[in-house]
Amino acid sequence: MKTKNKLVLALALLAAVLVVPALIGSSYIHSIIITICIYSIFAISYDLLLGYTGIVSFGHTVYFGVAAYVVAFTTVKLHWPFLAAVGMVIVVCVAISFIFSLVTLRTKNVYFSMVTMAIGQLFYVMSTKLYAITGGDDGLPGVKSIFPNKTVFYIAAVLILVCVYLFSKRLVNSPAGRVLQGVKENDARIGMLGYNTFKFKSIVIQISGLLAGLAGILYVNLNGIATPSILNSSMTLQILFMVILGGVGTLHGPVIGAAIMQIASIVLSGFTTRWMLIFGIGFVVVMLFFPKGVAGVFDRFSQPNQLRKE
Amino acid sequence: MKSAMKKSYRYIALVLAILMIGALALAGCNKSEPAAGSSAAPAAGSSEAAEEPEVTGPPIKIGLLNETSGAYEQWGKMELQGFFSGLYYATDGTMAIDGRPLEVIVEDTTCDVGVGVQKATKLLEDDKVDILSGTCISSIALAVMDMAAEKGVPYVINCAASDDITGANFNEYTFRTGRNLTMAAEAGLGFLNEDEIEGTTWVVLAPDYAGGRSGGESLGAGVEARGGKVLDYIYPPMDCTDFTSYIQKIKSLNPDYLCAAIVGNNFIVKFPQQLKELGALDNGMQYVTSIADFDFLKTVGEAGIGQIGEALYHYNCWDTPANDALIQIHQELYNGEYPDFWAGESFVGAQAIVLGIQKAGGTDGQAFIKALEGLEFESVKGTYIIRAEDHQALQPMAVGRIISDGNGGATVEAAAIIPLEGMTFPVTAPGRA
Amino acid sequence: MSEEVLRVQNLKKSFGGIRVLEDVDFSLRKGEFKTIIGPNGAGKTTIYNIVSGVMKPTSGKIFCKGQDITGLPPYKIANLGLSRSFQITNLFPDLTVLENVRIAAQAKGKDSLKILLDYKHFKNYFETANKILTMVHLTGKEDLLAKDLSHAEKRKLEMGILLAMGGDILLFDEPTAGLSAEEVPELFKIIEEIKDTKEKSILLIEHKINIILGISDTIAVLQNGVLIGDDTPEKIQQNQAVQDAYFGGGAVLG
Repeated sequence: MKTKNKLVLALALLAAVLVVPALIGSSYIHSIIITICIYSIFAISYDLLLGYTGIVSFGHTVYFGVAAYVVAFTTVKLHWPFLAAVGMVIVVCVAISFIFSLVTLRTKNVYFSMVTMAIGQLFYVMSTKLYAITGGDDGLPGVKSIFPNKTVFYIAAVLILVCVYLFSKRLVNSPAGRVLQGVKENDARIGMLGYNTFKFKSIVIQISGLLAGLAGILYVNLNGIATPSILNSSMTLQILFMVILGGVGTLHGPVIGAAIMQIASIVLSGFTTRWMLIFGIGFVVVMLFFPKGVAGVFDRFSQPNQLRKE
Repeated sequence: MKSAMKKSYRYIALVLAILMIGALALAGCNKSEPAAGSSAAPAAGSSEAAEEPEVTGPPIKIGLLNETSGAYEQWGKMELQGFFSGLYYATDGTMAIDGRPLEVIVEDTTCDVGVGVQKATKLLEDDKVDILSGTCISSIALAVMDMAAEKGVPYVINCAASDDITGANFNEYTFRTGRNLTMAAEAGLGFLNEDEIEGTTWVVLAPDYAGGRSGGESLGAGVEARGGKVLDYIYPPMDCTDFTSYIQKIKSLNPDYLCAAIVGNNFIVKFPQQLKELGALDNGMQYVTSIADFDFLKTVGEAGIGQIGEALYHYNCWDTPANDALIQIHQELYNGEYPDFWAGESFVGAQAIVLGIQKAGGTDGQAFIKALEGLEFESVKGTYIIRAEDHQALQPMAVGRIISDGNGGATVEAAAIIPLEGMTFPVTAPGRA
Repeated sequence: MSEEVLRVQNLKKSFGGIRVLEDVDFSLRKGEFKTIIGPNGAGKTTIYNIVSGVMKPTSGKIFCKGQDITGLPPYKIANLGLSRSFQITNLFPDLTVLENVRIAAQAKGKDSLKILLDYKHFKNYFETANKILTMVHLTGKEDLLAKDLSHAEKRKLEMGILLAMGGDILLFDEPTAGLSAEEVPELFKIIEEIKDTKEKSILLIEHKINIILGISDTIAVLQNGVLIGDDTPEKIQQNQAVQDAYFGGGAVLG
């Protein structure tokens, strides 16, 4: 698709989404779209690792969940102002990124994935056991949204998603982003060209961690509670599905995947209680026929020989 | 040639998948449970009801958050069926209050907090329900209760059991008619008087995970508070199938009571089986553990006979008019099924909602609150009082004993009933004591 | 006598109990063209792996431009100007031909950590890449994916990446591996042109004796991990040990 047409389509879509609150008064629809924005940001952050740097982390939801818990704990139990809570989230995400970066140094491939999963589960177990700090299985409720009403939240969520998308797009097309793609294509060779790959991996892990933390902050603002379920490995797998279903390595793919999964679960659960099974089958079918995900479907129609140019 | 064959396999797979999806969707639509989002109330009007009353006002909308799908869907079904039975009972079968028909909107939480909050948003802001109710999952209840309070909508919780709901997280719009975890723990030991526990020896056992350990610790604390002595805490791993070494240890300690906070098939079935096989109960040691739903009884079967412990609700434990009505109505509405576990609590919640609206003369939030605070009424387990300080319903609690049902299976009888006066747990809602 | 740009000193390498390199000792002077020959399995690629930092020697030292680089990570050695190509093609398969070379060129610059600027903004790397592609006769194929090239084109791209790195010490590892008799001269011509610029010091691993005799300043002969000769082509041809081992005793080519 020509760049100009792409731009027009994107702007039209953005306008349509922003106009929704004026046309449709349903708070329910608003909260669904806010949720899609939140998971889109989360999924984009994951795609930066998976689709562009080739890092397969099974602990990525740690940032998302810990951010939610940090906001809940500092604002509800310690009565900190919201900005201070955000500052703490940044500090914690940077610290966690540091840990994951060290893991990339020491392990490769399957072992890396296993270690990241272990780290993720460690945080999950801590959230259920450290009852005094985390509220255990019940979670930490009582978070008040900083947005005065749903409509403001809605617009903010959409605009934040747009900013995250544009930033990520620029990142992957920057000189550093090209190096990351080289890491994905041939980690050994890109190092031999003279690049300190550890430094580059650390940078993308930091950025992706902060973005996932941002998603976590928005999540706890919307739902008012942080629970162990968002630290469970099933959450990381959900994000993985969203990215792959939508189209890994495309940035807009994760957004599509997030939207599809949200809408499918809501629409399907309205018809039948077996919706999860149906969704699973649907996922397998899509993967059989469109291995590049939904984004790959559109690419196929617009350009017969899709070359990885950007 | 090869790729052409692969392609045709793919198309066959696609067709099969579509057929499967279609079949499942159709099957799902034919389920007897009401699908989420429906306003279905079972038919108002049966042989019991008076003739249809005339409609004199707008419908009263009640929103019910329900675990219709997901890991806890069995519990969701119990809550839903008990709730409708309770509405039916409290409105004398008319499903209307003072001429205003009841419209119940059921939304599926899918056992997920995020979805639960979304559906609550729908019920509170789009459907604008007058009263909100439901969910068995405490984290969903904790998140939703803040939202309901913000909108000034009363929220009556039937099942979710976290103490914080009427404790640390209290707000005036939230009520809970079900029992909380502290009440459950107290009842677990309540079959013995204080002097009976004094001086006795106990061993506490639970599976080794967060919930198990905390459950075990509360049990132990309860014992020691009553003057008993805990000889040991034993935490076998969750996936343990051979408890021999642990049972030998218990036998060597020879306590008067073995108290367990148990979950999981191995613990529910294999452990008591092996207890019997190894003769651990031969010395008169009593096995104490909470008694759950029909599934639990079916699973534990004959191996469970003799077990004693807190029984949240079993229809056989109560001899009250309301319980008889619950059984009868539930069987009429739901193909002869007996009410199970949570149904005994959601029936009460539905009844309280109706009584509150009647007493308040409408659905105004503040009037409803005033009507429920201190309300004393008769329901499934006898007399209930909704405590004004923390909106927690005080109620009798049953200690059940598993007995043979005469057919090779298990049922429950009441070993002891702790009367309402025996509920002594303190008010922990901030500023309300 | 020009300075040494590369010195391999008493290099030993064992894998487990197997001795792969035994006391290998040689140097490369600035502007020199040295070819390493030897039968397969002699250890030639292992020398490259150690020199470029991919492996550590069991003992011995490597000096590059006077600096001890033994045990340094590959990226640091590359930044000193030492770059190598691979016998088995080692490209970036899903990137375009142009990008394969451009990313190599970018490594030399100071712009790689920039995350907020579009990479197309930095035209100099594109210019370098296009120049290199012309040198290795791959113009017109910029937009193809590396994985879709023919084998000969892949070998040229392999060379292009090496050149784009802009190093002054070039290590070629059997650049003509797998090429047909018609394709070899084209590739060798590129190497000759590089030599003629007199800007690079070159190490070459090759098998095709005829060609290397003409182009090399010195030839090092490796057999079973031992350097059995390191001299001018004329002297090497007369070396008895080399003749017995490598040329099969007797036959002198010239």
